[in-house]
Amino acid sequence: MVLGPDLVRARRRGEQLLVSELSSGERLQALALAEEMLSVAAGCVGQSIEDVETALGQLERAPKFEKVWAGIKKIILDDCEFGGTVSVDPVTARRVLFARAAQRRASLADAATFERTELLAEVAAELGVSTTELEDGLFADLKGAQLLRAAPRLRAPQLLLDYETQHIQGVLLRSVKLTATVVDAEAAAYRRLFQKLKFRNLLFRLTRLEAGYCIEIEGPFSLFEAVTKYGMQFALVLPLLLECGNGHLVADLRWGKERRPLRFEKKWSNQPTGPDAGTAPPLRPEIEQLITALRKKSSEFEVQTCSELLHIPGEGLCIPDLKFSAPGRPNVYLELMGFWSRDAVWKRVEWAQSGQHERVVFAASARLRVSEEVLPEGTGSSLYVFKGVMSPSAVLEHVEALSRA
Amino acid sequence: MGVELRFSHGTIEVAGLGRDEELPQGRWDERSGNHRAPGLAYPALVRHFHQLGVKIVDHARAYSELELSLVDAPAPRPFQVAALSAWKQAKHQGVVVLPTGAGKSLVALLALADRKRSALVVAPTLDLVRQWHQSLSLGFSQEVGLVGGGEHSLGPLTVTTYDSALLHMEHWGNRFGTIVFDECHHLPGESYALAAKFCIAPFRLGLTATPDRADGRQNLYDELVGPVVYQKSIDELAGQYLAQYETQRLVLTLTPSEREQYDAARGVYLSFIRKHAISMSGPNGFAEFIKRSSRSSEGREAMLAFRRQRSLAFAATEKLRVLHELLHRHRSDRTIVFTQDNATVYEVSRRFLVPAITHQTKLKERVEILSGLHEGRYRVIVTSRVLNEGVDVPSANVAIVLSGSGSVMEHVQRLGRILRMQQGKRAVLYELVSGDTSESNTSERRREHRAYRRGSGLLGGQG
Repeated sequence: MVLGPDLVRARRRGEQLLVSELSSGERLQALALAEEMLSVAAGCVGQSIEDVETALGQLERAPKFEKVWAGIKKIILDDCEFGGTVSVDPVTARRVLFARAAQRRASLADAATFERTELLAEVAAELGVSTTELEDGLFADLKGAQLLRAAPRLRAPQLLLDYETQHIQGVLLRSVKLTATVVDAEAAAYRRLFQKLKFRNLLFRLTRLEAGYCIEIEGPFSLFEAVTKYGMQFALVLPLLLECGNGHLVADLRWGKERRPLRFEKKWSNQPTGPDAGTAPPLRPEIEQLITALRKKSSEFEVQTCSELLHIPGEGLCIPDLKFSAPGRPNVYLELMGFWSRDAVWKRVEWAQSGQHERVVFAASARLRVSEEVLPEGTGSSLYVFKGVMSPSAVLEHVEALSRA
Repeated sequence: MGVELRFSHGTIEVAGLGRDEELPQGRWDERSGNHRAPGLAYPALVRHFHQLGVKIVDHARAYSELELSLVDAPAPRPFQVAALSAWKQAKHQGVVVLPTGAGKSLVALLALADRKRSALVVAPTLDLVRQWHQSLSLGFSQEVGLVGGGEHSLGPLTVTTYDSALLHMEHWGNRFGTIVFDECHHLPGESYALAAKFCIAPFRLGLTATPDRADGRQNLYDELVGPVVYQKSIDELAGQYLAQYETQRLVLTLTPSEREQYDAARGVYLSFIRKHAISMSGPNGFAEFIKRSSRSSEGREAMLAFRRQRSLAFAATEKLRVLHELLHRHRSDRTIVFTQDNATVYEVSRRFLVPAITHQTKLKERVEILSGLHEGRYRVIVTSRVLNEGVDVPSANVAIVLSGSGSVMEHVQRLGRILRMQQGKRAVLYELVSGDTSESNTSERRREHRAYRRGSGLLGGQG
């Protein structure tokens, strides 16, 4: 769920959209408001959605908090469970009652009158309910008539975290392009980000900066027109972008009813955004194990974890786990392939065969049933197939061979 | 040396060209390392490469030729034949403008049968989707796919909504050679236009009774579907191909108590907008009112007052009394009651025990209600705006507009619901207006159309 742009607290200055994120003081106020609203909602079990909304609407709040209140209200209502409790099936009741009414009305003489009460009593008796129950249940399946069955399960601190993330996502719903500058990100965070971009059918341009990368994210059609069609995808990518080290995001927007071109900027620094907030993405255990084993070996190559991105437009992106460097030798990278897809191996093979890239050892488990021969010498990369755990000696052999190639 | 075309998320990727080579509507895409063009450009790309004698390996086109022949359809009328011919002359791309009830869908069936390609029909509402599904199934005696309203079955002949088309066209925009946009005045909207741009279909037909749009974006038809190739208006066909009709405007008076409440509520609302210098006739007047009214308790009161005065005018006691009389007078006819808001729909439904259709009515129940009206199980239905367009109830001959917006398009569409020709049919549209309220001006605005200037009467004038 994402808040709509109408719930975003923002004002325009020149070509900038200045979004009012909660200050620390406002955060305390918002937390108190959220607690109060949750408590009111919990007290409304058994009431209609309209009554719940009215009860929430009666809470005092400062005019400048109107949108915060509305955003929190939306998240609370999304988390509520509504349902109907009626003694008659509304659809059946409508079908029987309205058909009978049509029949009765059509057969009236000119001077006769339509006896509504009599008809209701007649149909109610047929359906085995009272007239009041029939009238009450007639539209009981409509959203407005649904009753609150269970109060929201969210607690106020989590509700506020959700609100703050959704608030920014609400801005991105109106974005046509994202440009993120990212530094100090872990390979795992990059990997999650680019997997998400691919999953969401988004395209990117990658530029290496002195420190870090500039990632421009768009949809395929953005090449021809600035469209907000990809806004939801951008919004869903945001949490993963914020996990990428430190960064700066610029979103090109089409804001308001006039779709005015504006820019929104946001900086972050390992910003906590989810349940794993504040913890750096951990290394995969196989990689940690390999580093430990390699460091015990005597080799001229120094091994370090890697956060570099190797990208060939049209061929794909490689996000290595490790970088091997030695004086006077070209750097060699190692990427550990996942266990789940042979396709990924073929993609790497195509990527390697396209040339113009760094030297990479692709490490693949024998469970993927691929042979090292699929990546022949001379491609600048090699495939290392291992059984069980990676052997440090075998890895170093591959690294050695590539650095000489 | 050839090129490879691939459909990719509403675009065509062209591989095998140098980055500096030029393409019609396409360009080099650094992000993916190939050329790219919008899906819409597919026919132009194919022509371009054919003209240059470049071999094409076409992975983009996923539509096929179909055995399509009409097995159950009425003989086309002369204007339908002329419309089809105009469309064919325009290289099978263009918009046909015909009044509601004149038989636009038969023109589409003839076009589909002429092209014999996998085809998609896009319609604005689930009721229309259901109706198209039935027309295609019967017309071609084939299984027809349906996407929307919880259904997702895609076939060589498929019907969908504009919303679903926007959502899915980037995935299956290459699977149809012919595309029909029903009620195509929706298409030029900023979002829906993308559905047309993501689709590669070379054969495109737009159908509408009301091509003009308040925002002037009808000039996008040329790019998205093709130009208007044929046009006939209600008064050109009324009598011969459409039912004879009359329109009656009934101006009614609020009760003293309603008048008092109306004036009080309107006073609160007007004083707020004057105090904040909000121009409600300006392009963003209402948005500004919403924004300002949310900022203070005075504003929230003004918003409540605005709603109160509107609902007093929409569902005034006198309107409901006259509605009661009209329903009695037309108890042997088939009547559609239109309102502007859902609250009045349900009020009318409860009070007169007639079925209601709003956006909340599930598809299965809608089908039951509409077929019930058609078959005579129901004589009256009440609805808000969801039945404004396209829904075909041939036997409906009375429309009662209890309330509505100032949109000419909406008002003409509502009239169109009762104009389908049937032997001896004479249609009547009543418009009930609360006099001396803001509704009077709204009513004047929406009647600015030749269909209303012809054969209109002002009856009842009690206000």
